[in-house]
Amino acid sequence: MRTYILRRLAVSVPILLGLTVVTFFFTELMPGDFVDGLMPTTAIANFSPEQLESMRENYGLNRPPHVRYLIWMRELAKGNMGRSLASGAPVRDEILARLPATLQLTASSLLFGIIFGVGLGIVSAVKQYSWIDQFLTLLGFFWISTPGFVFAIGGIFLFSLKLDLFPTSGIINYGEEATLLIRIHHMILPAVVLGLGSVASFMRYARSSLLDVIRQDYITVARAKGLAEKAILMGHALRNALIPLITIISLDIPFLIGGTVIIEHIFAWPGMGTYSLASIFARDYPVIMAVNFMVALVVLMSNLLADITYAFADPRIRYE
Amino acid sequence: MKRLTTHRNLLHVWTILIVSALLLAACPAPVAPTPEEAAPAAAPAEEETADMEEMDDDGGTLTFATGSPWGTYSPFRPTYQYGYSSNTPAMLTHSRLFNLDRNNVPHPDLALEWEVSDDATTYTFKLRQDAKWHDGEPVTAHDVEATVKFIMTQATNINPQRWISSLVGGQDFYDGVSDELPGVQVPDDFTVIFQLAESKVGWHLSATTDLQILPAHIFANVAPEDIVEHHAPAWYTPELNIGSGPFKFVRAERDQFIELERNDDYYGGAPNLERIIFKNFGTADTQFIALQKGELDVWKVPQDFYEQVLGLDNVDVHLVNRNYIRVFLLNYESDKLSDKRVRQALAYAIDRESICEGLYSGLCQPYNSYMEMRPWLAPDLNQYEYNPEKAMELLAAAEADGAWDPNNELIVNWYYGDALHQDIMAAIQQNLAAIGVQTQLQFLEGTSVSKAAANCEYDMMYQGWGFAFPEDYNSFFTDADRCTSPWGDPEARALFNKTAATVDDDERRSIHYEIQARLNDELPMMPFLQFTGPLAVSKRVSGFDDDAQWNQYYPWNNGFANAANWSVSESE
Repeated sequence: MRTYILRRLAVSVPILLGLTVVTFFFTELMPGDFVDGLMPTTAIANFSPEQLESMRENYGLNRPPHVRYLIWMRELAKGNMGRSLASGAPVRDEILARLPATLQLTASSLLFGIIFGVGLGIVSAVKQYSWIDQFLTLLGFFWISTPGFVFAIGGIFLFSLKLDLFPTSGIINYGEEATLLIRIHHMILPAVVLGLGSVASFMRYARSSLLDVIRQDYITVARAKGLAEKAILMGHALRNALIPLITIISLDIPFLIGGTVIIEHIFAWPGMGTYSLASIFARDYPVIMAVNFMVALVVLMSNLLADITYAFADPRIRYE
Repeated sequence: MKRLTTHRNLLHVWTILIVSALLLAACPAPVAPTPEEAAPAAAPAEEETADMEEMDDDGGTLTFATGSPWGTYSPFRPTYQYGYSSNTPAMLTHSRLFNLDRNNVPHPDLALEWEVSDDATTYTFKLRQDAKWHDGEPVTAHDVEATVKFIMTQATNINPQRWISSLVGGQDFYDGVSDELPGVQVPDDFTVIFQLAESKVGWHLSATTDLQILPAHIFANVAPEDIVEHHAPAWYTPELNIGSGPFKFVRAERDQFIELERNDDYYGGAPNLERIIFKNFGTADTQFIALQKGELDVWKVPQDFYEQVLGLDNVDVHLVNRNYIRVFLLNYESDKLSDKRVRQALAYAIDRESICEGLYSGLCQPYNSYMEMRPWLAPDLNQYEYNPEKAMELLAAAEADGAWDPNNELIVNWYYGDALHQDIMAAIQQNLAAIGVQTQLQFLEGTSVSKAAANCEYDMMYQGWGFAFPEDYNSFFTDADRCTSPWGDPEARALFNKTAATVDDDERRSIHYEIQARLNDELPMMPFLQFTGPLAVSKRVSGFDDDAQWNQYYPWNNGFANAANWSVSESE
């Protein structure tokens, strides 16, 4: 297993490098640059080409793309992600300032997804073909196939405006102390909206997995030995049924992070999603690169984690 | 048994991971400390503001919305920003020499009076003597001088062309050739003189509208490289944001909010409002819901929300006549549009009345001049009323002369990302197809549009124009070599240069009429629509009058000068 992990880590390096190259050159292909974004369209005529060129030079944008990429790689190797063109502050600091908000949101969504997804999956499996199962199946398809922003706007309309249970947006109320309770109050709506897709996905996987396990011989044996149905379900069936879910949950993390871009934007949540969107619009290249690098890293690590946990959980899997 | 233990361990690992993430989440985000109250200073109100009612009551908290996310422009950076609305909070914390009302008439602010020499080269401002910075220091002419020098320092990357090219010695100072700036003189503590290299009528109106006066004693200790960027962390600190306006900066969290509190020592009288919040409410949909819920007090209504906002009980919807137009820049240098008959055909072919009525909810009207300021609009301009037959006649004539190829396909660009503009572009495409002109619609988001314009990668480009003064249009004539908007008609350019040296208003106006007539016929760009802007104001808000509303759509005319009069009640 150790060899396998080391090999996977070694393979991850060129993949990561490849991703940075692709990201960098796709970013380069976007029309306009940071200086273009800095000038209002109607004001740009007031600047002479020399002035614009001088501004580009100040930001180092006058160098050829491959040179800038190599400089970026060199600095990244030293642990330096560069400075944001929009703020002049180190990208690392900018990201660290926003990362907790995004982690808060994604972790809560994941937790919500696991608890409700697995819970509803069990109910669905135990009550197979009942009206509850049919209803949850329908609900699951609805949750999976509806875009997050629809739930976001609908959720704000219903739970914030009509029922007045949650604030419309933001992470805290200004003028109030950012207590844990206030933060959780602000977080519930975006976290639930972000996690709905996960709930549906986990629910369906938990259902089918549990149904598979329930039909196994050792469950029949347990029943034959006279064990209570609840003990069979919780003690024998569920533990084994959850094994494939560990992989599914690991693979869901990148999707949750991707989902934050839209959800954070709608809920004015000051995290990485909002920041990456602003950086793309502003052509803040060092930030775009750093955020993409981190997301790529998370995706690769999530995949690796999924493989490893699967091997641990299921002894039939052997990595050579 | 071993297998079960492994599973249990795995569950433990997951539990630890999730609990750790939640613990991390529970740690509150860093919040900038609230500054200590500035030392109070006596500030007797001057005549101009003596009638402002002073109130001791809590005038409430007014909440504005900022866009999301905070992109290239910081909503709080008090230096020169080309009149962009992102500067609005700074208009409340910082003062200017004078303020313009919605008719572009200047009213005293820090300058009580000013004088323009007969040849329009010397502008003298007399400052009030009772103005104080938020930290209690007096505002003097030396602050004005330091502000001008600061924004003209190349290292700040502000590059204000109107100052660099106009002031005596401006270019040398900007280039670093000289440390002296003879174009700014301070004969005494409360007089500042701007000396221009050549006559520029109305220069003070255009050059100083965005000039928030900065405190020299604060900025003398600031290195430009620390604040050169719009979102530099220093801009979000109360130490740097010392102004002399009616409200004081308290704190700002990027992407979240800006908090201002009233300045009890304001020279115009203490404001009624206790606090002003500029809050990020997310997307327009979220802002709309926040408005309904009463979390948001003043909202600049996007056109596609106008009909829905009219149905709300808790707000009044005001319509603001905007000195703002949309135009189509036409690439008159390309083979496709080099003949003016083709350009005129495009103007006749588009049914602008129907677009306004059907798509813009009647919030616009066809417009036919680059001059969006109504008092300066030339009479008797060709209105280019919808006439597809005439358009086809013009095209046929151009085709007969070899100036138009029916196989041409015009590239039409726009940069407004809403669904409404997709519909408008589709309508335009249909109108043009009806006269046999094929188009390729290309949406460009904000940043890429400058590049497309600079490289001339368009045939028709839809964009907004909102200048404050007739002479602001000069940029349209400045450089005919660049394939952007400038128009290379030497006669029109000469006329424009003549306006800059014509002091008499009527004479200057008649020259502008002449230029408008030339452009109306030649159509190097096609004026398109002029707008009325809807503004939703909560019924709890009072004193937010027409001038203040105007500011929401035309920020470089500072209606916020009357902020001291606003208040918000608990109930509607």
